[in-house]
Amino acid sequence: MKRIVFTIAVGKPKFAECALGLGRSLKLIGDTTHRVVLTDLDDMPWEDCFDEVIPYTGDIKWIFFEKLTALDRTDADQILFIDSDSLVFRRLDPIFEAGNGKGFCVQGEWISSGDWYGDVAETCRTRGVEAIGQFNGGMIYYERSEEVRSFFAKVDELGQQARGLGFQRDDPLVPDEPCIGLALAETGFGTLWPDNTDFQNSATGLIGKLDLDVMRNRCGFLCRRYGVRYVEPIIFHASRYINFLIYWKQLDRLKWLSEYEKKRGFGYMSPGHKLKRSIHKRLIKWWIRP
Amino acid sequence: MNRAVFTLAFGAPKYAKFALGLGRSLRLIGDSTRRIVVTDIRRDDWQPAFDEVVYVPRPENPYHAKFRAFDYFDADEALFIDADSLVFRRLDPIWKAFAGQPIGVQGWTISHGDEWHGDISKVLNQTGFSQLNQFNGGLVYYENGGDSRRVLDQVEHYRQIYDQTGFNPFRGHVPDETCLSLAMAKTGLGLCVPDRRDYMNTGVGLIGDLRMDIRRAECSFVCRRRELRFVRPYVFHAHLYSQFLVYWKQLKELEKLEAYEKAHPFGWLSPGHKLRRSIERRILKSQGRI
Repeated sequence: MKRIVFTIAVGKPKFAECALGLGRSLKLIGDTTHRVVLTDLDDMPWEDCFDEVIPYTGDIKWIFFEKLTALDRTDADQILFIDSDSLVFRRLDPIFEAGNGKGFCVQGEWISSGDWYGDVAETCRTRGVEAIGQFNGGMIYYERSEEVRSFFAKVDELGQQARGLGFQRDDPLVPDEPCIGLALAETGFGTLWPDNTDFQNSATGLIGKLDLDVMRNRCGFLCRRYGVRYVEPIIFHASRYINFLIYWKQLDRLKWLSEYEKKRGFGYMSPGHKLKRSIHKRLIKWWIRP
Repeated sequence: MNRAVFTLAFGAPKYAKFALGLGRSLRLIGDSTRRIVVTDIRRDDWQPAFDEVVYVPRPENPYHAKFRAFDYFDADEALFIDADSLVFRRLDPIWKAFAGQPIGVQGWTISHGDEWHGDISKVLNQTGFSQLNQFNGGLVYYENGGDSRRVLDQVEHYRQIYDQTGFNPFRGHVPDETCLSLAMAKTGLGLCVPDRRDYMNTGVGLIGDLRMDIRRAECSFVCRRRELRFVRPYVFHAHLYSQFLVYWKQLKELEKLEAYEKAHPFGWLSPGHKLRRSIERRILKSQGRI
């Protein structure tokens, strides 16, 4: 089974910066999954952290639906789409293992009321379903199978009807999340992983400090979503934190580490580190060891 | 299965201190594998850090003594860990990974370069192999069986003809790593698990802080070896960090904890802790909470 991580960086250069951060974070933690980026941004150091670059051409209105196209664009059997503005803190094997054989999986909850791309109760009533799947489309797992292709055809069909269904965004882009959420309900196909699997979290409803540090491999926080909970996600989806300095600081660190790797050879020891060793060696000899 | 983790401590007293640190770190994290030290250093404090002490004269080539476990003690499987190591996580995943293999190490394959005991192209020319496993001999697994014996016989063979292999000597001795690598290539036996398993790491090529704290069972860092990566190893092989205070601080801390255990009974509460409890109880009472 060929596994890939699939991401998209289309449009503004900032999306390339984000995607490079994602790729570099995966590389830093030693994740070996084949990394693929779909992009129209050239002259970026994609080879630093991506194994495959697929050129993007298409209608930007449908950009959110591109995350479901890896079956056509690659030969992978298991695909984990991760939004480009994400950072990964633990290896992805548990997510692939959890999804294995399930066809299509996202992390979320069933909802039958409230406001999510429109009035959920009204959507349920008009479509004749009890609830729809609410999830964050920043992480989607899917597999190569006919069932998955049929499911995607249903999602596309709902995408064409999105305006009529009341699924709107503030921009002209067609949203994928409510179409997938409704397709999950109408087809009965696919799996909603409980939110507390913590495969992914966007720190929406943060309480206190966001402890985020790629150098320490730390990502932990308290947040109020379905309940107040402490979370240490495998994937941190920056989402709104793209407008916070802490996220860009991580991108800068990852970029610095990537440049360091290019400049320095195996086991490089800085002059400062050598000096420290020299001093410590003397201290150990004279003071500690006797 | 009768398993044993063992180490060697020959010669200078500092090696006994290292080995005691290793044994104490295993004990501190609750690893239940039988611990054995093979040594020529007579001390009365080997226990409780080690379950068994095997006194033998210093071997002619101490590097190769790690392959003689079953001459020293009875076991079905042995895991050698270098004395200048500290263990931060229990060893079960390592036993599981190597189970059924005659011999196991952690590393990667090489076919060129001169970073490992000489010019590898020259070695391959002289020995006729197309590639070799490169690894650090600070962690070696082997079982008590026929296939293991075949590999170890070849190790001895390459030790005898070392000057014909193209490898360089190390500190005036024939190193164990290169002979084992050649023996694995010759017999086609044994397993070299990927370095990314992080069963052991030496912190070579460290970038930034080495976060090591035995009391918090924490050891993590970013380092530039073959690739730049965040590492949280099971076994930290101090290697060049035996010349850094941070390692000696851990040894001291482990010694203090052992002394504490001897001096205090089960569940002992310090006077300071009792005083704090007393004060906090009063505060909680005054708040009407207890």
